[in-house]
Amino acid sequence: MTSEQYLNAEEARQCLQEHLRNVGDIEQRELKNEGEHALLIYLKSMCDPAMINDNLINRFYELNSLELYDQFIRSFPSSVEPKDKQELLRNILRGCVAIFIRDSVLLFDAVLVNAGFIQPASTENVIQGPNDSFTENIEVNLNLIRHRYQTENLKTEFMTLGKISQTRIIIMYDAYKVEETVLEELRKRLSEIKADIVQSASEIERHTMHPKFRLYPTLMLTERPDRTVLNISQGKIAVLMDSTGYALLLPAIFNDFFTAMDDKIQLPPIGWFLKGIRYIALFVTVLMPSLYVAFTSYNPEILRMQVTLLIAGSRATVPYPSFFEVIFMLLAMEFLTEASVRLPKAIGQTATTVGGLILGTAATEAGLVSNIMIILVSAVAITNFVIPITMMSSGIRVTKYLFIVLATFFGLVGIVLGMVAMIMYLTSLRSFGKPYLKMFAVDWNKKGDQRSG
Amino acid sequence: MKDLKRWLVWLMCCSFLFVSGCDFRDIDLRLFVVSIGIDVSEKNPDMNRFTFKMAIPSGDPKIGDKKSFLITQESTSIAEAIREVKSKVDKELDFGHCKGVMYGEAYARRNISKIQDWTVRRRDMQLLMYPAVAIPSAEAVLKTDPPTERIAGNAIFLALSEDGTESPFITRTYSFDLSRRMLEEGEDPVMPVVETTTDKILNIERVALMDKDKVKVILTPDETRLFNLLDRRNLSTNFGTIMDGKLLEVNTDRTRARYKIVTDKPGEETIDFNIRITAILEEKEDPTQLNQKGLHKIEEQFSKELSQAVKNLLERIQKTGLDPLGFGLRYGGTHWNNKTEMDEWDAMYPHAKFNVSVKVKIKSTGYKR
Repeated sequence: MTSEQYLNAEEARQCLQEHLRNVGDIEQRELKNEGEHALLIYLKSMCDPAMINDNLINRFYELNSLELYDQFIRSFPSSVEPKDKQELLRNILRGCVAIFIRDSVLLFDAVLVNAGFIQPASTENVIQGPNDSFTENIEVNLNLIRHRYQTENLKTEFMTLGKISQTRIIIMYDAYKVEETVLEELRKRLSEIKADIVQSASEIERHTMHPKFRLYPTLMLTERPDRTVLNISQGKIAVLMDSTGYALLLPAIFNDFFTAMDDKIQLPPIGWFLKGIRYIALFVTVLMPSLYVAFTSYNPEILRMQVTLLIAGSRATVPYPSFFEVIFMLLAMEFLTEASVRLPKAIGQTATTVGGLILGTAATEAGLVSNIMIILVSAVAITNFVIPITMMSSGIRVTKYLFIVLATFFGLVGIVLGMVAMIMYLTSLRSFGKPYLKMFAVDWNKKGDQRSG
Repeated sequence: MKDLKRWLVWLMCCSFLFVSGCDFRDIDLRLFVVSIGIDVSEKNPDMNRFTFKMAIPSGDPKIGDKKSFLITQESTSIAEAIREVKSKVDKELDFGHCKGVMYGEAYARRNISKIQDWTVRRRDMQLLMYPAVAIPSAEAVLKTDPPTERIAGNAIFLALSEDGTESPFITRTYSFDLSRRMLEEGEDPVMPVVETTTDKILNIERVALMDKDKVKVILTPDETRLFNLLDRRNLSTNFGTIMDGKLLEVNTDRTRARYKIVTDKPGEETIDFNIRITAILEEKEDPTQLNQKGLHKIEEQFSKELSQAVKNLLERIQKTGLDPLGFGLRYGGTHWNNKTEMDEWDAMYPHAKFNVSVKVKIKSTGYKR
């Protein structure tokens, strides 16, 4: 340890004064004691005052000599001596205190942490089972995972992202189970991120995945530590990020988005049943509106005569063609969903009640839409919410409109072609080189399928 | 500029939604023809009288009123008749739910092949529809309005398809099967007979045997039941007999008819029928207790009587020269002989003998002791 490598105190002070000229919350404290003299410079808003008082100011007066004080500070695990101005500045901005003792400068980590309590999960609920969700603090999140996955194979790699935001991220994986190629690919893609500000885990998703234009998520975003741990134990990689309550899990396949943590908690046959229900819901929500269009406008002979006459009767007053009717109602439902998400909780209730009344009763009574349509819309809405991961259910929400367009032009044939196209599209997707629709597929060949996606 | 172009393309694509194609006709703009009837015309011998029964959808399914209406049209061909009917209604005629063709008896005794061919040729007509002979006329049958019917025209299909009722007197025939049999060598078509006497009740209890394209014989209800016993498995029906002046009825549980064409001796070919019936004793007038021996006696009597009845039926069918059970097809299929086998069969069938052995087994006396 030669002192030449480190930053000179005078130089450091000038640098700080120059760079932090107009910063309001900069704090300079001079400590003087019988000719001995030290200077603290820190950002008031980022540092913990109690820690500074206890560890820096009080000790200065308790310890007799400046050498002792210097050694005392150096003994903290979180204190470093900066090598250049860049490091100094970055750490000050992060929440470190710069301590000038004679002609050396030391950085002491006094970051103020607003950890808050661990909240129960809000977007992925389970009936029985752990209910913790990630907090916005990365250390707490790390603790939540480590707590559940106690092995030395759990590796963590730290990185920072974003030129300005300097967001800290942690890549976590089980060193024995992870696939090296996926890990390499992830590191490469993360280092390629050029964005100034990275604030949420989904931004990483957007910046790393190609093709950029996708309908279905190929990375899983979760707020549940137990899901993260489960996925790590399956050989996947988790990316934690500071100031977001979500972790990114990769590679993700289509089936993952239809898995709730309940499946593991319940007895196996019940778990299979629940999963089956979700896939049925997928088909219902995607196909119902388009099938309605096809059956009422192109192929009424497929349904039973009773149903045909029922639809024909209830449509007798409807002035518009079937696809208009479907699109109107589905859009109304989308507006309702969107409104109830964005509205403050207090008003949210009103939106649902009014919307429900208008959609459910008034529209049919006015003869604008058929009775069957109301049943259909509610079935579509409910089944859409069955899909446990929000990113996926949004993708599915969009898909059904594509099917309606196909059904409008080509009837049942269009729907069948749409199904084929959708399966082809899903099979063409890759998540970090892994086939996306690998549900029942056997891993025939590990090579060759490495096209990134 | 590039953005503008892209938006214009999008706009054009979206505007396609407003252009609905020629084939796009919503369900409420269609009239569903549920059945067609064909009769001979009384006035003009060249023309036929076509009846179309259409269902009118009701707005409120809870009320349960079903409406239908009939359009009768005299025309030379059915295609012509449909065009003429189209100009009498306000909506598109849709044959996607047409599930019945009623041939009036007079028409069916002439030649049904023209219409039958039309029904299997037309793309929107289902091959699963039910053809039947209508007595006294197709129009009368279509006009009947059974009070149990919930949807216009449904009663007749529920009965003919045996979805609704299960009767031993109904011979279920599909349109595709009828067309097949009309062309098949060695198997002749059959059709159920729908009769209406009052305007409320449809009576389907007989079967019409056809000579390829026209009705030749209509069997009696009892014969129809025996015919169905030979034609399919597990017919649920009842058979009665009188023993010592007291009536006995059994209800069949399982039935199975098999036959073998025995051609060992030329000139003395036989068709050996082997019928097994498991039944439950359902009605018994005699109040005395039954024992095992008495039961055997009942079984024997049933076997004997049924054997005779089946034999009579088969001989009656043989006399008409028809082959509704497909003996010829079986013979042709098992005696391949470079195109001469069907000639052999034609020579053989009129003098072939029938050996019928019916074995009735009474599984339960229906009595708890």
